[in-house]
Amino acid sequence: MVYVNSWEEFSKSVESLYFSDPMKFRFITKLKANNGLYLKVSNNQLCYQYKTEYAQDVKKAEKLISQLMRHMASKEA
Amino acid sequence: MVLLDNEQFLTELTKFYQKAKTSGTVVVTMKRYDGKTKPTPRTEKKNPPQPAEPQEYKCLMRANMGSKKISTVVSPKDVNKFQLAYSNLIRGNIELKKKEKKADKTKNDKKNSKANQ
Repeated sequence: MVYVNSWEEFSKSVESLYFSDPMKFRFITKLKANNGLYLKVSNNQLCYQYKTEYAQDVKKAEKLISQLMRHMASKEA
Repeated sequence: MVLLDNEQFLTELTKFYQKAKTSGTVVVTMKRYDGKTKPTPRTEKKNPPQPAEPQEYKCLMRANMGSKKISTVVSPKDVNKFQLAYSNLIRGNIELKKKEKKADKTKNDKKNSKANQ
């Protein structure tokens, strides 16, 4: 499994993947006890993952999730 | 998979995250949802696509921890409220290390847990 190392790169990849086909896109947030937070996006063809152990990334993740959620529950892409 | 309403989902998810502080894994999946539960047939020529209905996209949230699975559907009119609540939930319940420095606080934690026992 390949992890994206920088947050900037990850969030850009996430956006482009979402807008390429919003219906096929999924966002997975996995929290493992004492083992960090794993973010994964996929559209069954491409997949990007990001892994963190630090609180500073939780805030970034939360913002990204919020944005995506608003896109998903709106009329346009 | 249990379909809950938005508030129940958030309550249950909070419980999952609380449990995951000691052990376990919580997986949350977020996906766009258009209300279809069946795949579109491949033979489009035989089944001409239905005239496009005015579509309303929703957001499907699924969460599971071990064998427990829950889900909810967020409609556009509720998305503001849900998104705020969900953001707070994440901020309040996902606790990771604060700094990248190699601070070793585990020793103190061990002492405390022994004292509690």
